[in-house]
Amino acid sequence: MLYYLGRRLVALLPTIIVPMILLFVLLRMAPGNPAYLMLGDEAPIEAVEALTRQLGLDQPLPLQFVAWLRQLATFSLGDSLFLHAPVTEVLAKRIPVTLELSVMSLIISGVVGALAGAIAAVKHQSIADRGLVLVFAIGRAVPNFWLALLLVTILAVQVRWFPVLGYTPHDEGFLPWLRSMALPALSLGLVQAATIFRFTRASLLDVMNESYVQTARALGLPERIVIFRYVFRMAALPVLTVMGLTFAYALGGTAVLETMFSLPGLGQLLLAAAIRRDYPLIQGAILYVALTFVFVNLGIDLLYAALDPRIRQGRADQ
Amino acid sequence: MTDFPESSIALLTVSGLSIDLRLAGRWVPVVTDVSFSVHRREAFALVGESGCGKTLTALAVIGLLPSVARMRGSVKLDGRELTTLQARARRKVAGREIGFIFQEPQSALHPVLTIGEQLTRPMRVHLGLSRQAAIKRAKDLLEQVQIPKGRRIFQEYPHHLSGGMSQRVVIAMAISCNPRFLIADEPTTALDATVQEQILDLLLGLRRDLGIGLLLISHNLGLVAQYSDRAAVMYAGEIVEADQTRRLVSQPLHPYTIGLLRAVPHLGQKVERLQAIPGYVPAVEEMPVGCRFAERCTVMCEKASNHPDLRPHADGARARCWVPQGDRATS
Repeated sequence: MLYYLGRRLVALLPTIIVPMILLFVLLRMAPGNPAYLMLGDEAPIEAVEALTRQLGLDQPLPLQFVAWLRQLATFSLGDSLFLHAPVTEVLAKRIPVTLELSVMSLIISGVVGALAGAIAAVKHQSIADRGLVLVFAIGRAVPNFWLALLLVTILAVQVRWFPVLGYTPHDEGFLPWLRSMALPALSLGLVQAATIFRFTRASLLDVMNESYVQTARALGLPERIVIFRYVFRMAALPVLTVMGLTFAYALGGTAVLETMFSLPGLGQLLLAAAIRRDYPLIQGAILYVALTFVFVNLGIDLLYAALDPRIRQGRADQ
Repeated sequence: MTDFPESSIALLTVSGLSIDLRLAGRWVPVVTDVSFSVHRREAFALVGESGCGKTLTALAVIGLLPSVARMRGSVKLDGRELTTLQARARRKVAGREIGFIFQEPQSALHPVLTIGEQLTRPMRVHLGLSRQAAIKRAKDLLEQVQIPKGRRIFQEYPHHLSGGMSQRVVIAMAISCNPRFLIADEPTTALDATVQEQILDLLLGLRRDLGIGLLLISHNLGLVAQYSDRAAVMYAGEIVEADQTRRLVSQPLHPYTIGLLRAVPHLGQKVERLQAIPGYVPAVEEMPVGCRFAERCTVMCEKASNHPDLRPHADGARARCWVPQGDRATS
């Protein structure tokens, strides 16, 4: 297991460095100069050029990248051009909000999606199954901001259970915080649940047709044991992958939802940073997104190995 | 090998078993009026090409037909009707009274559960054994299926085991709750020839030692000839000939059985080439009304447009043919 972990960790490095290089190049190839945006339309050319030099943006790209890496080695991501604060500090303020939203929607989508998927698969081709398939097919087609609008209209405007928008930090009380997060988390979670439902159902149906499940039935094992011990464990693998990926995406921030509900999260920040060409901030945020993505995936792989001895030992035998 | 008259009380009696499958929205008969019985300490074989309905017949006996199938007829174990039992009672029969051995031992075992867990689970459920007691009994079982004692198989997973070893584990699972009857559906088809013999010898040994009945399902008449007491040949969903195996292979009555025998290679016998039966089994959707074998039959027959019954012949043999071959035929 340790050997497996070590191998996986080494394999991570390129998956982080390559996208960072791409991002670095693409950002600077895109039109728009931060110096120009900072000084405004009226600024004289000389002032823009001076600021460009000051920011080091006149240097060749590889040098700029090396400079950024050097900075990174001291655990600094530089200062944001517009917010005049270290990028790490800005991120540290925004990440928790997005993290809360991601975790809450993961819980909602995991519980709803997996439970509904399990019911549909066990009662395959029943009315319940058909109904759930229909509901979640619609759910998958609906964009999360549309669902958000619907939820806001009903739950915030008409019955007034939740605030329409805004974020209440949890040090101002757990309940107000929960109420402020409920609608965004539901909007995101219910749409994610549709995907998880589909994978759970398909995966369970697949496994239930396997010969080892037939063997278990031929041995007269009660349905409870067949489903819980023989089927679920095998069917869990693909479902975990999808859940992990969905979670990783959510961790990168959902710009639209965060903007709609004016949640001070990562998605909103990234959107603002991109509009202002705030290079250090974009790079820092994307580095964080890449890191979370990679580590969530590593987590899933480790879970796989824990659940399936063939993966654990197959790799170690080589 | 003694003769078992059909009338004496049998361990397992299948009578008038018919199975339909739902294909493209309508019910299509795939097994028609199959009847046979198996006695204690007897190995009874169902032989036929793939698709002839032998596996479905076996699944019907243990009550595991797929949801797209329906059946009629009766299955009795020791005089007790199984087809009318409630699902829960039926499941108990499946685990405790009838053991089932599948074709592919590797896929019959759960890939991520240890052998120990899979082997002890049925005993804990059906016999109410504690973990320790189940492990103790499992060790005896492994010895019974001739897995070397030194092998620490309990913590291992199926992917560590060879095909033959897996099949031994599957057999150990099948006999773990002292069943009275064993069904082996192509138990050696997926295995090497040398392992094949070991497994079949093991099964016959168990039948003798445990005094149970064995239903052996195979497409290989050569194998059946060697390892069963009585046999029934199935063709296109029905039994076309049933007899004591020794006589069935030495003096077959039905042209299909004769054709199958010509297709079996014999050691030390020099043949130009093995003869295949020309043509194909008719598709289930377009089953002929008359004799189902007529199109491939080598014998000239005028009555083929009528469906023949399974009629008795000399020595208790039965054949579904208008023109049975050999001198045992009674017309």
